[in-house]
Amino acid sequence: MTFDSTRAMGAMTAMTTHELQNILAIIRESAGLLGDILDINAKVALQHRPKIHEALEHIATQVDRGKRLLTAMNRLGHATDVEQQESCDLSPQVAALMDLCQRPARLKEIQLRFTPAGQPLPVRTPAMDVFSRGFTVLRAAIDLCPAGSVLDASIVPGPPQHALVMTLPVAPKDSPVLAALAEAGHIEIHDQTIRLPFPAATP
Amino acid sequence: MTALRICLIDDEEGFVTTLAERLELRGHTPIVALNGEEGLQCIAEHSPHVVVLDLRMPGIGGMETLRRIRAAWPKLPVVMLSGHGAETDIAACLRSGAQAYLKKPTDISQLLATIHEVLEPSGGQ
Repeated sequence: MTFDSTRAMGAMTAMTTHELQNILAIIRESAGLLGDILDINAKVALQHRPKIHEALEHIATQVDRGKRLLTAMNRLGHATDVEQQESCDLSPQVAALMDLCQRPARLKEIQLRFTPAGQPLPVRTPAMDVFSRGFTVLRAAIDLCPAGSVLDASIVPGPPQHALVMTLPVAPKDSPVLAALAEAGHIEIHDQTIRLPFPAATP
Repeated sequence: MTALRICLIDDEEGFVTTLAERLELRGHTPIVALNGEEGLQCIAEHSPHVVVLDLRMPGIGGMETLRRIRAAWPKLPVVMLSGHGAETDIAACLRSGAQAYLKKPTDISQLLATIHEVLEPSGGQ
């Protein structure tokens, strides 16, 4: 018996996201109840009624934003599950990765656009490896893109490989990280495109 | 719109009592239970039209509660509403006889739409 730090980290992440989803649910229902009470008293004069409605809408929007992030974090936490240690479905892992990387993209004023695969794409890669490889490449790509640009990402189905493909407005080879990954054979670079392949598994 | 008796089984008291108030404002009759055992008792006493059930709760838990509901009331529709949304959980609930699975937080209109869907004769099949 040994301690498994990665699995412990994943399990704690997943547990925490579940708890945070419960908290968001309470916030949503409480804000919803306030909205309901305002609605059933629509004829009662109330100062700042539009402001209250506006604030409740902000809460609903932010709850949705939090839910999306927590869903992605939950996916990351479950990436260490035993069932995903040899193979996984590439599509939801990459979709979660894109959601989690919206913040670094936004900080650099880059628009990160992702086209989902729309179908299960099983790969012979542990889910955690999909996250770590995808994150390393995507983060380097974001760092390289100039402010105001668009980074497009999509999944190109195989077989024999399914690949995460990113198109940049600049040459990926200008990034030392991406150049080194290409040199080591982990990614392929063609002009302004990066291809990160994963071996396809039988569904 | 038909008034429904909706049994809400969830250990998050702050969530379930607020949801119950909102359902009541919409003309429904919610019955709240804070764990699986209490939920089974509520079903026996109140014969609800539908059950909204959390997955992870202290005591017998959502999955075991679901199995016992299926054994005692095979036709009673159950909507799972949980913050736990791993594919394995969702698949296990649907295999064990839940008609639908929603992830928290969800909009009340979505919850009600799902409830009406599972209450239709072919709902959730």
